[in-house]
Amino acid sequence: MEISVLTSSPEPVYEQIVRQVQQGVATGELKPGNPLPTVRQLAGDLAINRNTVARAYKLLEDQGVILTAGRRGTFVREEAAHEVRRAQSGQAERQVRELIGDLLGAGLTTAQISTLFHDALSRVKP
Amino acid sequence: MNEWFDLIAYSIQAVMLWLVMPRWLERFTRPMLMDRNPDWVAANPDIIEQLERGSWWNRAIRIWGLLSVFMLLMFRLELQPALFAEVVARTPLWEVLMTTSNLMMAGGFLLFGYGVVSFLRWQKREIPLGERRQASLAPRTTDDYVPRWGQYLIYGLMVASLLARPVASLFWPERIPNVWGNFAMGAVMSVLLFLVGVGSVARAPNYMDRVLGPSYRRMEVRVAFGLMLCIVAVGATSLALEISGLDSRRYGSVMIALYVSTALALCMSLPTAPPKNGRGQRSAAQAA
Repeated sequence: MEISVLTSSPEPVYEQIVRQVQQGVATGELKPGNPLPTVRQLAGDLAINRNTVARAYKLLEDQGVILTAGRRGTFVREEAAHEVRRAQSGQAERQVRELIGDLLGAGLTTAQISTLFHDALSRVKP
Repeated sequence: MNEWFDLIAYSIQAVMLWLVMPRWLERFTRPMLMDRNPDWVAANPDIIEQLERGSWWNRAIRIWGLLSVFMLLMFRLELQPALFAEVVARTPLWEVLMTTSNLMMAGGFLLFGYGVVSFLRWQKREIPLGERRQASLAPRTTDDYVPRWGQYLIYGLMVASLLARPVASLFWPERIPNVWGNFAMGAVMSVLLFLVGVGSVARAPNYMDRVLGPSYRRMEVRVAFGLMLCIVAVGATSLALEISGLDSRRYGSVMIALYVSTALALCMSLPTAPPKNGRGQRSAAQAA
């Protein structure tokens, strides 16, 4: 699987890596047990600082998506897909909360916000 | 063996190294810079054109190649300046040619190395890295290119080859001179080739990976391991000849010159542009 990063993006590079690994797990491109490149290799290939890749790997490890097994390398965990879904729904919940907070701050009532969400959802094609 | 044969082998090597190879390498200037930052290349056509026309370094390398052939021919025809007359008079002609070739090669490599380092430093200083970068999430290890048993076998042979000379000198001290000098030279070569092998696996994908796909890195790593075997074979052969009381330096040196010329000719026969059907690019996606 190929990943790409855009250094001028407002999204930090380590988050771009985390997001693309999560996407790879969610779509099945990265399967449980698949090995990942070393921090040195990925940092070298992307021409970025090793700390950036190490930070991305640490975050993925904390989320339970990958497992670092010392000298044996870094692998996608068995329950990675489940953990990615959990992480993504946690992230979505945070984003919704932030949005609701902003809308409440802008003077909308909870009933109006609820209507807005229902309308928006009804327009989304499955 | 006639000394004209030595002259031809060393001259071909000089021509391949300092005349043909720099010319062949010129075609990689633009792709190398494109790899680093395509936007910069598009915005600076004048600089690219100037680079492609050839630099002072390229011209100096070619002049060095011609000078190398001229020097070899001069010594072969015994038209050397008076300054060298005394040394040449008490040295066999094959050894004069071998020493001349080695000295000119050392000078050429210094010039070549200086040019490469200067170019890389200029590139790093002047051309910012592109903002969009890609990489594969597939790990690379030496095991992907050379089986583990093969690696252990070659490393073991290298160590055995290094130790063979000091051990043999215990049994035939009068036939094996300069034991530790040769040992040090062998150790340096072995470490360098080991680093080349490791570096070929670790390096970031480059233009040639995109042209030739995954087979390019495989070939690069296997050539490095092949060279390790070559060092072992050359060391073992020269040691065997020395133990038999024969001077192996002349044959070894001519063989290496022919090997270098053949290896360069084979490298230059590889395609250097992406195939028109795009197969190279697709397979290059799996290259890393």
